[in-house]
Amino acid sequence: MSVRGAARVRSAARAGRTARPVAGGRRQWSGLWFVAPALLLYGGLILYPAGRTVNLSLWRWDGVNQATWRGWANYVDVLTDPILRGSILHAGVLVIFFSLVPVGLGLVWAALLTRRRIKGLAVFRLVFFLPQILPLVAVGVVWRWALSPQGLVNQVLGWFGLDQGRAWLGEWDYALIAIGLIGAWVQSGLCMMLFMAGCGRIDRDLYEAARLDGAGPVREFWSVTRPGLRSEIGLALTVTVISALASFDIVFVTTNGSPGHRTDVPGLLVYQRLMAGDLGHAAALAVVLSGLVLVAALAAGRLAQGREDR
Amino acid sequence: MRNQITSACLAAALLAVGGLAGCSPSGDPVPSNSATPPPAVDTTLPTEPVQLVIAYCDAHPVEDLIDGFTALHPNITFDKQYEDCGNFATDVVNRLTSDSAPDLVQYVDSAIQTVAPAGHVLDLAPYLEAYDWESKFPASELAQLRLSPDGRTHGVGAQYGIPGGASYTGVFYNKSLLNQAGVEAPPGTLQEFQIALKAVKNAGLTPIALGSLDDGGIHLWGGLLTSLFGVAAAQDWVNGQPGATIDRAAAVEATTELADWARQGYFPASANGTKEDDARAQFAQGQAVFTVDGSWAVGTVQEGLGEEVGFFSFPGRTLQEPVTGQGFTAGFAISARSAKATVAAAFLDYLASAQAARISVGLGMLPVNVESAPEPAPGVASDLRQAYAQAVRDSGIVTFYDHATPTMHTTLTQGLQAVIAGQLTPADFIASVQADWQESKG
Repeated sequence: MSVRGAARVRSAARAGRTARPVAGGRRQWSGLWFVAPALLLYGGLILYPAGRTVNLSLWRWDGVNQATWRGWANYVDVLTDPILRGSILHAGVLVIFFSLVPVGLGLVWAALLTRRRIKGLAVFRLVFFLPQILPLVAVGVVWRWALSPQGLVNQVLGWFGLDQGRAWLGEWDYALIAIGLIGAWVQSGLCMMLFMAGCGRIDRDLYEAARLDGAGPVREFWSVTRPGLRSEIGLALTVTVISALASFDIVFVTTNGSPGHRTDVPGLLVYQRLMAGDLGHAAALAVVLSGLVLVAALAAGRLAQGREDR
Repeated sequence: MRNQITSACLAAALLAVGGLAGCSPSGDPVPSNSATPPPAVDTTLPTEPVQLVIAYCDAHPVEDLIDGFTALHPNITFDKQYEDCGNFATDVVNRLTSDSAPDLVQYVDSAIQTVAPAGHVLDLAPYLEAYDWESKFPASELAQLRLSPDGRTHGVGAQYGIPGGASYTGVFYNKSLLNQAGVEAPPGTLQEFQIALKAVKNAGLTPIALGSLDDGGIHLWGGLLTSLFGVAAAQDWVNGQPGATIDRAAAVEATTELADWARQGYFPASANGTKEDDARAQFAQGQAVFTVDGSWAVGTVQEGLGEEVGFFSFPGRTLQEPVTGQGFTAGFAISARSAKATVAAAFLDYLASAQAARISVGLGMLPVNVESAPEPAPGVASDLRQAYAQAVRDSGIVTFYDHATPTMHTTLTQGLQAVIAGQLTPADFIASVQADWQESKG
């Protein structure tokens, strides 16, 4: 009821706005004065630097000497150079681990939570959220140790006779997956926390009604829990997808792109090119990365709102 | 709706302002004193108190050398500005181009290449003459700190730095493990090295501790490359001589050898996930028979293995070939904006002194001036010194290969990892290395 009610209020407001005449076509420019401070800050600190980055992406420049005009060539390189293009693909793989896996795990946890009262929720909450409050650099250092030849992961594998002394972060086929799993570890807690909070808001009567109608656990999850968590899912997707695409800290600390460019991500390459005095490519890649993040965030938000607006 | 459009328009307008402002990005104007011929220099030191600002990242030997100099000249003090080596190159670019540039900076090749063409670094030519540095420092080390006007070619042009300490790479070996594998003496030629590696592998030992996650691969590959490619051709390529190329059969052969060693299992399977520091620690714990590392490793390996560890230069095809290794001198440059350049130059002159050499040797480092430095006690440090001195006499020292371009370190590290993993052919690797060089040298 609340959803539909809100929609009605919104459409009424819209009608009101168009109905009110704009004083003979004159616009109230004085309103601008009120937004001016915010606009100046936002423009000066966000939009202007962003524009400069776009400008830089059209040049070949080392930061000191005379720049030469490159036009779109830097962007062509970003899309054709196997290393630069590869980093974007890797970011796509990380979305699975940083975003889809944690959201999936969080939903499973939420489904369990709605079936049964669990004692000691506060403890769970603390444990789940712990990875979120650790600095990512510390997370990276700990996992680098855990994934080293003598590290925790190999020790655990050793209990089953599977320890081959591999450096997981140096393995051609597993390094990116290993980084993905670190990300999944970090982000799962966030998703579980969000969904736990969301579950608390869902009306218990709905579950009772579903059960009376003979719904099993799956049906119940699909018809009550999932729609009830829609906005939380949207938020979780948005936050985690951004963290996957813009990842830098964990990769920088654990592999720095190794082995053989297999774990390069856009954020890392922007940094590396910047450090090597290749500002043009760094800026072009940063612009492409920002565009991707924007599109992904909008898509995730749309996905979550989706049916509500209909 | 219309409000959204208005704000979108505003945002776009501001973006455009940013995008168009200062259409062509370019640096600060060139300081004027680089254009005018420098005045005749004075080598007498002031008697009133002077403070020099120095930026550096290698706490040793820099701080020790500073202390040694201040002990001789108490009126000259230093504002010591230490920076982490990881960001030091960027820091040097920023600081040397700023109005408050330090008087002295530790020489970072990539940074000096960027800022020297714009006139931010002092050409030391007048001091070179006044202090007669050409007779005090080895020619090969002075050449590493010389740069063409466009900053793209080493070894020619202006003298932008003075060497403060040398480094040299080669092979450390574990004497008792080598004997255990039935090898009597350290190998003298590449072929003997191959035989020794095979014997060690057959004895069930790990032949080479390798940390190719960062620099280890470059040092090992560099040893093979210098041996097979030849010193002169290799140095021309690193220096950026126009027309130089690494895309030749000898370089492919050197890389093929490395790939072969990886296939034979001469390195631990975890090499690509291991840092050079960690590989050095493995070697120092007796977990491998050889490791290819640099003079900076002496302390660690000596502490771990004592008299069991020795050093030899990376072997060539025959015993008649010059003794070779990679190295780069940790030098210093003077800012073009420094008002105290004459005092700073006196510090550079001190680096050639016997006292400075004693300080370096005391820290277990290679002195700039091998001839004037005291001989270390027998052991790995003495092996290293003798190998280095022979390489200096043979003109066999090639600048580290990753100095060739600003992006070469990444290109080599990542490429060699792929070669070691068997995912990139030696020919494709060499082609990618040359492509990086071409991109930078134009």
